[in-house]
Amino acid sequence: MALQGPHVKTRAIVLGVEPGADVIVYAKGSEILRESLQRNPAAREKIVTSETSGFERLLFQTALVRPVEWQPGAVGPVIRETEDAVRLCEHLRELDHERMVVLCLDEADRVTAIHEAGVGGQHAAALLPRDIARVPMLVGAEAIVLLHNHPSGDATPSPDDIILTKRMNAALEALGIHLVDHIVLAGSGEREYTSIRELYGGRLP
Amino acid sequence: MSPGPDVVVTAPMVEVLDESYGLRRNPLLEPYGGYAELLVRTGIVRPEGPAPPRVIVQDAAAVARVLRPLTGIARAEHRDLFVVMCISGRNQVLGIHVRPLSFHTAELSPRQVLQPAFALSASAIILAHTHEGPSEPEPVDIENTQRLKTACEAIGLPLLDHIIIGSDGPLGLAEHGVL
Repeated sequence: MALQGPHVKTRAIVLGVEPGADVIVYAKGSEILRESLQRNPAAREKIVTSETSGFERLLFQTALVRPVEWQPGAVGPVIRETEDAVRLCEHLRELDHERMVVLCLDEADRVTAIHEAGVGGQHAAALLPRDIARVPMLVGAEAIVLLHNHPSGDATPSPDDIILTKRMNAALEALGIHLVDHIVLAGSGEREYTSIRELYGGRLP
Repeated sequence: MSPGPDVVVTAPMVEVLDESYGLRRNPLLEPYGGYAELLVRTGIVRPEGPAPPRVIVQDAAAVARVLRPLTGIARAEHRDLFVVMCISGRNQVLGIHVRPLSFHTAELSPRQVLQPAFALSASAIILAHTHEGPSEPEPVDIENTQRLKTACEAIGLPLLDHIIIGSDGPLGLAEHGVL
C-alpha cells in the first residue's frame, strides 16, 4: 500500500488544541488545514482579527498553539531516539491533567506537525484512533510518535495505556501510518519517562 | 418535489471534492455549480434563505435522495462515480467527495476513503458508487465493503452503508446484511 497520501507535504506546522475543543491546526502552505481551522467555531472569531496581527502570531498569542522549538517555515527537528521526542514535550510535565501529543514525522523522521489532542481532564485512553489519526492524515505523515503525561508523577504505563497502544497500532496500520512509539512522561516534578516500545523489548504490545 | 421531514435545510454544506482533498469545488461538479447547488436546483433540498443549504440525513431513504443527482452526472460524464459522504454526529452531511470510479478504485485503501472524513472531522461515512447496469452488487463490491468496514471500525469512523446506484434505483448493502 502506498504510504503517502495525495496531500501536499507540509514543511513546518504548529498545531495545538484548545482543551475540549476541536483540533486547531495551522500548516504553512496547506489550505486544507486553514479551512479546517476556520470551521472551528471557537477559533473563527479569533481568525477574523488575524488579518492585522498575522495569523501565526495570533495563534501563539491566544495560546491556541504552543510554540515548540522552531518557528513556522523552519524544518522540524529529527526524531532519532526517545529522548528527542521527550524533549519536544517537556511542557506536558507541568499539566495537572492528561494530554496526548501526536508528533507527525515525514519519511526522514523529521517532525512535520505536532498535534495536542486535548482530553480535558479525562483519561488519555478515552481518545478514539480517529482523534489521533486526523492530523497525521491531513499532513500526510509517514509515521507518528505518541506521548502523554501522567500528572501523578509515575511514568509507568497503565493497563489502559497498553490497550490504547494496541488499538492505535492496529488502526494506524490500516491507514498506512507507522506508530513509532508511545511514550509516557511523568509530571509532578519527576523527570522520568517510559517508552512502551522499549518496555516490550523493541516491539509494540 | 418537496423535502421530506428527514431532509432539513438550514446552513452550509461544505464540499470536499477535488483530488487533493482540498475544500474546493470539484471540476466534475463545476458545471452544476457544486453539489449543494445541484440539490437545491433539483428540489431535493430547499434552502430557507440565501445561505447554502444544510443537509441532514436521518435514514437510508434520505441518503438515497441526496445521492440521486449522481445518476445524471455519471450519465453526462460517461463514467461511473465513487462517493464518500461525510456525516456529522448529528447526521448532517458535512461534505460529499465525488471522484470517477476508475479501475484503481476497485482497490480503494482505507486511507483514500477516509481522507475526506478526516478533513471534515466527520463522525461517520457512507460510501456510494454508480453502476451503469442494475444495482446488483458484484463480488468485488461486497469484498471491498467488508474490508473497509473493518478498517473504519478500528479507526472509530463507522462505515454506515455502501449504496450502489444502478439503473433500477439505489441499493444499500447495509440492508443486504453486508455491513
